[in-house]
Amino acid sequence: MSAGNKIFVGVLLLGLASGYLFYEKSDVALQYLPESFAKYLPRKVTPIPGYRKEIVHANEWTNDQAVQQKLQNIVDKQLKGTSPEDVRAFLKKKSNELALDDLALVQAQEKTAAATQTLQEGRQKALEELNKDLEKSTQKDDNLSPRAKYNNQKKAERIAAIQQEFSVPDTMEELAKDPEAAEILEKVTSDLTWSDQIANSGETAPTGKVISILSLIAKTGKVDLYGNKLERDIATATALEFARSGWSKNDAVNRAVFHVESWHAGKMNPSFASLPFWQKRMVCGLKGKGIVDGVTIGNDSAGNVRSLNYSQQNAHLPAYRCTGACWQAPYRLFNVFGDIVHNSTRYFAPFKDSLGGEFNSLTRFAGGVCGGLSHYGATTAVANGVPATTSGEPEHCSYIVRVGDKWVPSYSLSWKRGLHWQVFNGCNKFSALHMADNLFSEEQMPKTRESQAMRNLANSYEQKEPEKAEALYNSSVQTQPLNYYAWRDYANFLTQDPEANQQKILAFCDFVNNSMVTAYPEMAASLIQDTVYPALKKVKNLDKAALQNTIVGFWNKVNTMGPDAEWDKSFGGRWDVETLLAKQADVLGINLQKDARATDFMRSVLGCVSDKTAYLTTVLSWANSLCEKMKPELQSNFLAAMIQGVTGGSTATDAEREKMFDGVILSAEKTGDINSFNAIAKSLPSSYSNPARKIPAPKPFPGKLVSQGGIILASSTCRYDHPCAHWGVLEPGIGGGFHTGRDTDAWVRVTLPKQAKLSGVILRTTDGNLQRHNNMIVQVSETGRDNDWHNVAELSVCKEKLIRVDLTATHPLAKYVRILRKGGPEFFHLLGIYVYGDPAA
Amino acid sequence: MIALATAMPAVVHAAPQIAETYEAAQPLLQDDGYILFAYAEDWDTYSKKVCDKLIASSAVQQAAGNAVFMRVPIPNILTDERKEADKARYGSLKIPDSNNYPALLLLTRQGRHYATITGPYMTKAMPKKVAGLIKEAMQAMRKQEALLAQSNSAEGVEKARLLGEAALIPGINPPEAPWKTINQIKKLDPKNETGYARRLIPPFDLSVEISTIEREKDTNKPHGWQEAIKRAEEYLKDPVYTNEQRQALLAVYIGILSRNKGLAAAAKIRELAHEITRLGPDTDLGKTVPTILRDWGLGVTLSEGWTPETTAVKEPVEIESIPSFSKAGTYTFTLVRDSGNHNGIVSAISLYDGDKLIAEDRHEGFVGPTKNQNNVYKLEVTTPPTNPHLFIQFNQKPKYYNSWGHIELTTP
Repeated sequence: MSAGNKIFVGVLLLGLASGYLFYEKSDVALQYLPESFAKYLPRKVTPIPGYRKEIVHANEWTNDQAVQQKLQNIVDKQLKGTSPEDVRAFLKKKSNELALDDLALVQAQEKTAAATQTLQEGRQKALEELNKDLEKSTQKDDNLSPRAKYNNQKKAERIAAIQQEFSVPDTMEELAKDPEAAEILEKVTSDLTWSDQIANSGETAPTGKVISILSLIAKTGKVDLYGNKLERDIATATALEFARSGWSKNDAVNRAVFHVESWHAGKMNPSFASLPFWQKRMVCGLKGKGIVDGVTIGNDSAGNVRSLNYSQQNAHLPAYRCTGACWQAPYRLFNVFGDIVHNSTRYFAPFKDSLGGEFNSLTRFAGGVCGGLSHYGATTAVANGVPATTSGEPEHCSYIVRVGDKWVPSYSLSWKRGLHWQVFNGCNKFSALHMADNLFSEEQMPKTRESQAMRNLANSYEQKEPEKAEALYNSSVQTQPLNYYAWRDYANFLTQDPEANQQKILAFCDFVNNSMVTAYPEMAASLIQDTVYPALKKVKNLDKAALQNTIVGFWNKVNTMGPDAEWDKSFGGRWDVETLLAKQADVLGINLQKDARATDFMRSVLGCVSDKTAYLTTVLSWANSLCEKMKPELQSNFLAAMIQGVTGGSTATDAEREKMFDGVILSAEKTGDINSFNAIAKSLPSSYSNPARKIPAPKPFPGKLVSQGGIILASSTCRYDHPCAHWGVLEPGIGGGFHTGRDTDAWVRVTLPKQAKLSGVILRTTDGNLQRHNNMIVQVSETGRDNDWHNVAELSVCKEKLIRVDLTATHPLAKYVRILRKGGPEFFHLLGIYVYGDPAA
Repeated sequence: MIALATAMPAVVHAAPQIAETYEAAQPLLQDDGYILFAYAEDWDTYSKKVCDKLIASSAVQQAAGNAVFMRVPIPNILTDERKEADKARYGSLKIPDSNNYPALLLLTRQGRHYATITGPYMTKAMPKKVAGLIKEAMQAMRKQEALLAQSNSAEGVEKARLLGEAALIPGINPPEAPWKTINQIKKLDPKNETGYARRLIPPFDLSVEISTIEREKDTNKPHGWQEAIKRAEEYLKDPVYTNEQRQALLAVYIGILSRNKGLAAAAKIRELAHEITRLGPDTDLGKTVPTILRDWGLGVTLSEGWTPETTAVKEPVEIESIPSFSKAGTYTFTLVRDSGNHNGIVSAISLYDGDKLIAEDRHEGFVGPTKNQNNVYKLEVTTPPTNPHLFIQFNQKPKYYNSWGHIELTTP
């Protein structure tokens, strides 16, 4: 052996010895390293700091009711009152905090028992059917075709996966009987940081299943739950999310191992380590549905480990580029075999064996439409350790990526987006992400912790001491008004008996108005319309005057459209004001189309928002569409009230209406509010909606007029511009006009109501000043962002009033079309822009 | 051996020409253009190391010829400040995006992006493999540049040919977007003498053209799919199309048959699938062939049975995956309905030895949701066939075909 080798062996032995000594000497390591796990774990264990105390022993969990009683007794004894100060005093003792978290874990198991049972029964039924089916199929013919053999193989795989799912227990009582799982249960419930993560980091999940998954993860020997905080965070985040969604334990284990191994291979974005825990849950828990629930290849399987692995190997990207990752896959409604994407069984069938057989590689090659592409984009982000979720939009699917400190809507065509991954169960609002950012921010965490403790205490007293529970809920939301979990639980508590609690519920609404509406109007609306209004509708003698006051209170408190609305403007940043208005009218018992009280209702709302630009446009357009559907005898009063609401006058001439609408139209254009723009258009003075001098409709390009119902936005406005004429720009056979100021590189952008594959664009210039139309460039974009415009036609000197741009050779996909007039400074104006093509799926 | 070694000139590489900025690159720039080493600035822990290793590799340096190397760190978040800083650093050089990092971005001397090298060889930092890819891409680029240079002094059809050839050089990006080149070629070669106006159509676009005909709902053409097949066949006969285009045409042809004729078209589907393999077994479409053969290319079998599509076929349909009929005796076939409402199914089952009919049961058999009638067919086999072929004739009397079922066989 050479001298060098001897030194090497010496160092190696020394290392091994010190590792041995570490295990031997470190009490903490021994205490928190179960034997069953130690055999899988050759790594050095560095104990994770934190408060630990064993309140409940592993064997005690075999009777979880007794455990619950034991923990409740501790809480009863230590809690001296229900005020925030009393709870703070209670929390000063760490052991109290731990006992309360453990109690919350038992309660979480109890609350989710029924759902877990339903899930298990469903799987049991599926298992029986699959077994029967497989048996029948194999008996049918000894000489099975390759296709039948393949199908049987898939059935057998699913049977095995379900059986494996059943092989590990899910309840605390059963888990306590398994030595390895019991050990995990004990470690979790005696570690304050760990139990706090499971009880308070977001929505709770069936605790038994969480523990069950953690124990399976530990058994792999690939994740260190005791010596590495990040690995434990990944395991816990994954276990929570998979248990919460009722997904397979085996898939959860694979997912956790994937993220841990990716982290150590340096393939996850380093920012993952500093993400707040709720965002780690998002990364580890997006789209985990797997074969156990019959998902083979489809959007819901985009988050399986093979799919994530594909993205990591083939789409390793920085956070900001994840927003465009969806475009790595081609947009295809029909694949190369001519099969439509909506029949996913056939669409992917020819590729499933040769292209990895998982969603992301199949989508990258075979293509997809909005759903497939957005799932590819979102899961590519999480594969890289970047938080993301898919989201639903009207007839569309988009996704949202966390870039730095922003939630960036990606492939988004509308402000109306519903989150597929929800931080607050049942609340799919975009604002929920912003609210959670604040709720779990470092600055807010001390209050959030206290508030969550008060909420957990309230939960525990709901049945036996409801008055105490009510007081604690009140303390919880007072302490942390951002705690949507507490607001929701409080509302659910009060609305259990709406008749008896009517006044309390109305007071609750005022409380929400004062605490949440200004900063998070969408969340406040969601809370009230989903919990309070349905309950109030059941009340026999409803105090409508008081209710009306709370509604007016809501609209008095609104100001901006909510967090990030300003930044989100390019995506039309706003929320669903119209649905709230409809529900408010409904709970007041007003039939908006037939009831004269609709006028008073609208007047009161408009009065509240008349000086709030962000809301005025939306409320006015809502009122406009409402007016159209009203009984004719109600319309004139309603319209008068509407004008009065805005102008202060009781009647209005065409000129006054034009003046009123001009501002509203420009505001709708700036925010990309396509609904308001078109709703207002229906009430335009007739000189604009039906002008005396019409422009003849040109001969169309193939397909549909996809710009109709869209919205325009020009680079500027000027004194020659008449915003009421903007709507007509998109209407062949009518004609309108816009007029910019003296701009350099002036432009006008058309937002199509739906994404489309374009066949052509027709431009109608003004009759004179053709030189102002020289050097126009027709551009398209799928996002409308400044850096995402693609030239599809470059025009030179303008000699014709009607300019036809044929795009049938390229059929570009677009949501936005922009006409850029190079040069200037000079005015720019057009009378008509007509875009043709086929709307996308 | 020693003599040989001393006689061979030592392999000498000039140190790589590394430039940190666009300006610094200009004096070093030669015919081989730029190689940009794009890596994660701060969002992974390995890709910078990969690029450093490749830059230092003699294999990579040798393959890179006289290209200028530039390091391009890609930030995690692109701020306005960063955009400005990058503008100052890279000047008029447009840094192309890659779908994956680390990546080598190969640019011509004029800054045109002609190739991206990324994937497992890069991730695993395998210098020799990467060098091989650089070499191939650079050779292709030189060929492409030479053709483009020639096209500058050519006119008409000849120019169209040169542009088309340059656009179709495999392994690297075409000089322009295909539709731009197509438009240019159409003007230079209005009679399409070179064929490049068709050869440059992206293969997928041909598939779309055919499948669009299939979906046309013209009342005068009740079967759009038949028109679509005619068009596909016409294109397949035209020698102008590339293998890749042909594979796409064959794929859509298979799709149309499978959608409209189901298992009844299995034999034709098999023939087309084998043609895809012949044109390129290792392409993405070539690799789908075994699955196509299994899922769509297998005809009516006893266990898979019939579908509404197969029952609509007028001619007898051959049953595939049949037993050997090695024993003499009675073979009993029972029709079993699995789903669907209509009950008129079969009018004959026949067994051939080669081309010779050796047993047949011809009668109308029905299966239905509530009752079956004459749904058992018996073939008396006296001499076991050496080359058995089993055929089923579906009943053509029913107006609608909407049942699914299978056939159970009892052997002697």
